Order: sequence, then C-alpha cells, then structure tokens
Amino acid sequence: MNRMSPLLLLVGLLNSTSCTLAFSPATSSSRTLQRCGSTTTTTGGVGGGGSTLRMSDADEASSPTRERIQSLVEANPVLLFMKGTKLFPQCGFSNTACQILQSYGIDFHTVDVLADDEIRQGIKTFSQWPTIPQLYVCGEFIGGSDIMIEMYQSGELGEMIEKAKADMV
Amino acid sequence: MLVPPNNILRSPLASSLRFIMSMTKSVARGPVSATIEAKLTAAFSPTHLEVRNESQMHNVPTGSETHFKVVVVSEKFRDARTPISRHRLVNDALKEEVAADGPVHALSIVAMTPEKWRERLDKGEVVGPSPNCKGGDGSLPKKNEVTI
Repeated sequence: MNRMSPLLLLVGLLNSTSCTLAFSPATSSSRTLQRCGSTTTTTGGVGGGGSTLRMSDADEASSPTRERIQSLVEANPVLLFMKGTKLFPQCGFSNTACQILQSYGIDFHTVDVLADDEIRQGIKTFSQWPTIPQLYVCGEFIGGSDIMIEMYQSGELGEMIEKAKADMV
Repeated sequence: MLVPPNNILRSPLASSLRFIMSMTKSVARGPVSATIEAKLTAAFSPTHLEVRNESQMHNVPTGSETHFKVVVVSEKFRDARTPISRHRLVNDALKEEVAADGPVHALSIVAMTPEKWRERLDKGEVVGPSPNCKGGDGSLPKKNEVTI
C-alpha cells in the first residue's frame, strides 16, 4: 500500500486540477537531442525490444510517416504519443500518462494520434507496440501507461526524466 | 474443536482472492475473453491468471468485449527482467486480438513472476481497475447507438 499511495495521491491531486494548469504547452519541437544520444546507448537495455527503433532498420526506412515519427522522437527529449491533448485527453490511459509526466514538472511534447491517422497506425509499427499512449524518452521507447506507472513507482522513470531534463536546458 | 482459520480468512491472499472472484463474477464471459484466456494459458502456463473484461467502464454496447485488463503471473517472466520485455511477451501472445483489425481496443497488462506477485499480495496490494474513460476516440459503437 505504501508504494501505491503516492501515485493515488498524485492522480487524485491532478484530477482535481486538470492536466494543464501547471504547465504551458510544449514548445520543444525545434529542440534537438544532444547528450540524449549517448544516454540512449547507455540505457538501451531497458527497452528490451529497442532494436525496432534503429535508424538502420531497413523495413520501412523510406516511409514518410516513419521518417516523420523518427524526427519527432529525435527532436523531443520527452515525447508522448497519446489520444487527445494535455488539455483534453480522450482516453483514461493517455490521461494517466499525462499526469505522471506532469508530476515531474517538465515541458514534455505530445502528439495527438487522433488528429493524424498515419501517425496513429505508423507509431504502432514504429514501436512494435499495439496500443496508445506510447512514451519516448531521449529517443528510447519506454512503453505505455502500465509501464509508466510501474517505473514511476520504482523511481526508474524519474531517473530517466532527470537525464532528459538535463538535455532540455 | 474445529477453530475457524481466521488468520487464513483475513490474510492478504484470501482478501485478494475474494476481490478477484467478485470481479470475475460480475462480468459475463464471451468468446474474446475465452480466447485471451486460452492463449495466455498456452503461452505462459500461469500460476495465476485474470482476464478482466473492463468494457462496461466505457461507452460501448452492453456485453462488448473491447477493453481488457490481464494479470499474468508466470515463471516464464523470469528472464524478462524489464517491464517492457514482459509486456512485449504478452502483446505477442495476443497479437491477433490487439491488432488494428482485431477485437480488442484496449489492453492493460500486469505481468510478473510468482515471487513478485507474492510480495505484492503480502503487502496487501491489489490490481485495481483501469482509469476511467475520457470519452474515447469515436472508433467504437456507442452504448446507446442504434444501428439500422
């Protein structure tokens, strides 16, 4: 119980204040990953299936959607593909993902897959992951909302976000 | 002479079992639930398995099988050390169901080894329901939608 309660508190707290009060819309799309690149290689094992994200993956290397996703992932140290927006999440799982990221006080970027069907389908192939939301930190695929909750509780996600934060400055 | 084993009845395990049973009783099982259960059983020989149909929490017709949460406890996760690798194993086992043209719209996964599950029960932690619906993406039939 003691490990669960901080999250419950967080979710309750943020539910009452809505997703957006504390954070301005992300404007990080023009940023590029610098030190994040090396971070990715050192933490690559965490992905478990990160091989699908390699640039050299020839499968759909020429697909424009894949290239768009790749550049989004490279440009945003903390990137959430979600249903809806930070202001109006359209799905409970996306809402949970937003709330967890907002608890770290970072300016993360979101992509609304409902507004772009190519991205919606493309991200599933790109990450080899069937569901939304999907979180990328420093170019690395982290997982969906269940995994975010698990890594939030273990502190692992916080460590990753701290590294990404350093790259945002 | 026979003393009721209160300590057993009050144990975290017993309360979790009661909770699980109350969850499974309330939802009628359909063909998709049965397929998910069969595939997960075949893939993981789980020591504990729950297939929860959470569709009733969403704006879909009564009896829908679109939103699921699965709890899979298995030795097979021993070598899958990260959450993402465990989730990938479960997603792979259910890839037809979770495919874009498959029946399952949302799948929440709790996957761990028997030791981790035991630790969780000992702490009195239960796997709660998924977060409330936020309206959905409009891709599924609505609860009160009349199709002609």
